[in-house]
Amino acid sequence: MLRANRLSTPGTLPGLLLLSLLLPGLLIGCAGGEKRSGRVDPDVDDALGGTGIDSADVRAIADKMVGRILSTPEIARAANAPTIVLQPVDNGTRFVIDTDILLLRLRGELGERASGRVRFLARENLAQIEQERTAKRDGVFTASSEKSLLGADFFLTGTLRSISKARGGDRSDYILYSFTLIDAEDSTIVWEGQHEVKKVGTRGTIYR
Amino acid sequence: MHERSPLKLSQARPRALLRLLPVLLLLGCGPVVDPDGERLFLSGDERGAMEAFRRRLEEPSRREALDRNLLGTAALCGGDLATARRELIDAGRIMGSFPAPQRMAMVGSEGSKLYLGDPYEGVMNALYTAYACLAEGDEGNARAALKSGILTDSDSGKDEYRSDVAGLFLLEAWLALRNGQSDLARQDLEKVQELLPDCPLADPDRLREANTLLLIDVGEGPRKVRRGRHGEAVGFTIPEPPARELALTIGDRAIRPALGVDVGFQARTRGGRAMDRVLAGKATVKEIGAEIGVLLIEDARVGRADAEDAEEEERWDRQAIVGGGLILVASMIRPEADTRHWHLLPGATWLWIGKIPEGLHHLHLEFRDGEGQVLPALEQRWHHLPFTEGGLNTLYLRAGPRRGFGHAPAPEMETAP
Repeated sequence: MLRANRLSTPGTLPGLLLLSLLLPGLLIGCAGGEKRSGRVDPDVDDALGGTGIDSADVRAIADKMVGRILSTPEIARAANAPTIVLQPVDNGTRFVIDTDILLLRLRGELGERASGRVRFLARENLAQIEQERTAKRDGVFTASSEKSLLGADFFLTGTLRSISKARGGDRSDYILYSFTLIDAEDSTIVWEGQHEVKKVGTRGTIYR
Repeated sequence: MHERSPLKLSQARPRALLRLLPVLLLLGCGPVVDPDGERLFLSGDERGAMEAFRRRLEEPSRREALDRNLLGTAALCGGDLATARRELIDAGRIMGSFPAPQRMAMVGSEGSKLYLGDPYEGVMNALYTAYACLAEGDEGNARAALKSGILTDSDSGKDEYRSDVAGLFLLEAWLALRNGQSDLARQDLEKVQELLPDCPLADPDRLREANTLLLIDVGEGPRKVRRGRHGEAVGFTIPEPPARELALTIGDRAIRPALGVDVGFQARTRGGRAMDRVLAGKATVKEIGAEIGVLLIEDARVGRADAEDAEEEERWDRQAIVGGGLILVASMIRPEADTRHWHLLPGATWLWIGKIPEGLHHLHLEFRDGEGQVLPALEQRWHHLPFTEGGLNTLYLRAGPRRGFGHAPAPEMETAP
């Protein structure tokens, strides 16, 4: 008897059967849930990736620069603890960041490791300080003693520059972090430290 | 008479599966978009729109960057510059990230992947971020955002469409001059002159004196739509811009803004994606898989009718099951392209950078169609806008699809009747 329109003989399709069983499983099984939040090591790159400035960079920079600043002769051999004023970091990269984070981390690290060998002046709070001083002198608030506002011995500032490239969704970013300690009296750059990072990022096919 | 097991496919009738095929193939639709935020935004309720977009952000999702961009847009239009700046920066950070590959997006729906946006959306994120940073007095990050936008545009479409957003270069030139970077400014202005040959703003002397940035969004932005039998291709519907020209006066001075970004053009010239080929392949597999499944079932049906014993019947039944499995697999393959997009973008962004004398000034914004006729519905008048001589003045205005709205230092506005 003729069997019309037959594609195959029966029982010859174990591969297809396997495929039909496995593929739906693959399709469904890959539907993972959303990532949960959690605490991670700030020295480790996160899963989101990116070629910009990361917590690990901020920490590495602070660690590297503080040691060098403290060993600068003008700081190490100073008779009295020098006063430092932080000045804004000039961001010349393509990354929108809060550049204060670099200086804050530097100041924190210096504070911990310098053991009183340097002092920082809170110029960013100058308006409130002056207001408080005036109120004290006017008798509005009590005052234990009167002091003069200190001048800065050094300015600590930084500059970020980068070379960025793009191709097909991939990115490459070289970032040069440069920090300087400037003598606030004669404008000499008494110390300059640099840190450089190059990162590349590649996007998978689904993001191209 | 042959013995039959109780669960034979013959009882389930292979034809039933055939009848189910269209239903199976239709399983799974595109991403559901909550229209609340958009509706509120277009009705002029920026605060309500912001709340709607904020609600979406309460739950983790793969469209976080998009929702942050939408929230940023509503905040920008509503004059909440701090929120606009924060949300746009966060969105830009996600859009510039390198997420781990998601297998689900490769075999399942493309819409399940993390939204990173198209280059034209990246450009607009950069432009808005730069504006919001500037308005908040953060020139450093405004410069950074512009650099990011220029890099994003350098990586889109074909060669001739790369780095062709004049507005980014013009703004960067101005900020470079303010930051003492005259070499960068010169290079940027050369690019502006190449892109907008008759743009009077591309003059370093004028830019050095400038104390005001005016950003004017006009019309509706491009909308992503699915094309192809299975929606595997992405196309754009680009609304016709309501205005071809705009005339602006501040005080008694007529000023001429430049076309900073033609958003529709940037979307249209974005070029192909590697993912487009993957989706086309998925569409083909979906079609062929379903067809083979149907053929196997039909073949099994014919074969079973001629079967000589129960064993042979069972073998045909197994083939029918395989056919059904293939149809099921085909129905689960999701070749639909991801059409999530920043639907609150304008059709075009015009900008003007120049010097406005200190004091309170009136602003009159008028739009004209291609024949030079004034479009009264889009006309805007602002009164008593304060400008400072030494500071940096920023104004953001938006016209259409509904009447104008925007952020200005003293929003005292009147539209044409």
